[in-house]
Amino acid sequence: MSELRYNPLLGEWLATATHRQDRTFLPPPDFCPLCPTKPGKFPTEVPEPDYDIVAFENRFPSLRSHPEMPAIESSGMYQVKPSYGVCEVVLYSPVHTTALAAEPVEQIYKLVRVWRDRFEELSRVEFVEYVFIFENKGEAVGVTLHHPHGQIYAYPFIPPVVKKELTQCRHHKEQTGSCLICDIVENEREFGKRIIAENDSFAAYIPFFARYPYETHISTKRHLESFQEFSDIEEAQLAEILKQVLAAFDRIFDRSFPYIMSIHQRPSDGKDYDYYHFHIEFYPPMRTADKLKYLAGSEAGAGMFINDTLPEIKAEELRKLVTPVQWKTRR
Amino acid sequence: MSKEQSTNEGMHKRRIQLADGRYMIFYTFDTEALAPPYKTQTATEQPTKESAERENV
Repeated sequence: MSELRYNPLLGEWLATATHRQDRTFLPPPDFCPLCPTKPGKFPTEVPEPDYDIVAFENRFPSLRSHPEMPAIESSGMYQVKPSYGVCEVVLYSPVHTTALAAEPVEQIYKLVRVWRDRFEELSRVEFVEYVFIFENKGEAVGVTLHHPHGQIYAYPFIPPVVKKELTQCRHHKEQTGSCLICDIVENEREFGKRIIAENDSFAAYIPFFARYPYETHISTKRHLESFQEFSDIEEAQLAEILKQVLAAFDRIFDRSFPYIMSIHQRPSDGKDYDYYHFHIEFYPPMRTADKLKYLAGSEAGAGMFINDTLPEIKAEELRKLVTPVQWKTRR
Repeated sequence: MSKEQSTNEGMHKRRIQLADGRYMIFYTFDTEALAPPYKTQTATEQPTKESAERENV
């Protein structure tokens, strides 16, 4: 049973999804539901003996294209509605023990093209207003399946974090005539000390306003609103900078580095968002090799983050760990 | 399971329907579609611990 309930105190929607309590939780590798189904072996969710990249509807979705009616009716200020939406899982590789950081740049390039395809297809679904592509990596951020995968939520509304960014970007454009994220990228490149990596199309940096010690943003240098406007070169160069940043993450503490990855693009509701700008945000929870950054009183209860580190120092640490990317496939 | 296929410049999509009605899309790529559309760097990439492990699989 799932439904959308409106929080009048914060002015935002949340989903209840009671069936998700029963979802598969950290199964042993031999019983991973996201591995290919090998002949004579445990039948997984993928009914084929091999695959490259796969996208499919989540077996335990928070949102559905054909949702059931809510368990209760709206009443006064308490609004409830069916949980329209789409929840997809994207499998990055058939190999259970790998991670995006460990994949060759060619595999990340394929994934970028799949992300674009999923964005374009889900944006065409009638009730979808926002397509959110993300990855939760590592038990530290609540992962329940270790197989390398990401997710896509196609929401019937613009989610609150993106809405807040849209408002800030619109105000900045009205006040200055320019794009806020274009200005952030220009500012970070000019200052230089918070830059982690760059290529012709993208800049990766720990922003001036980072909330987490290793919070990293990757932004397009051109003013683009979504994957839909990417050139072939930008698709390939996004794969390159992702490879560089993710590999650098793994080198910080010489371990597979947990993170939440959020891809922020313009909404898919058909309105004009020329003031918004494509970027990816990483929120890694680690602050040292053995300590996590928790969302405690000030962060969770008041919304004010306290970063125990300086972005300029952490960016220098990461920058030193970035190495060139080598493509094995050439034209 | 029902199936449907389409192609987009070296990227191929094969869509199937699972027994419970959910869709699943298999993506495959032509080898030549994996080369970046520009001249690439020649420096050798420093492998991470994980990539080194994977290459040994």
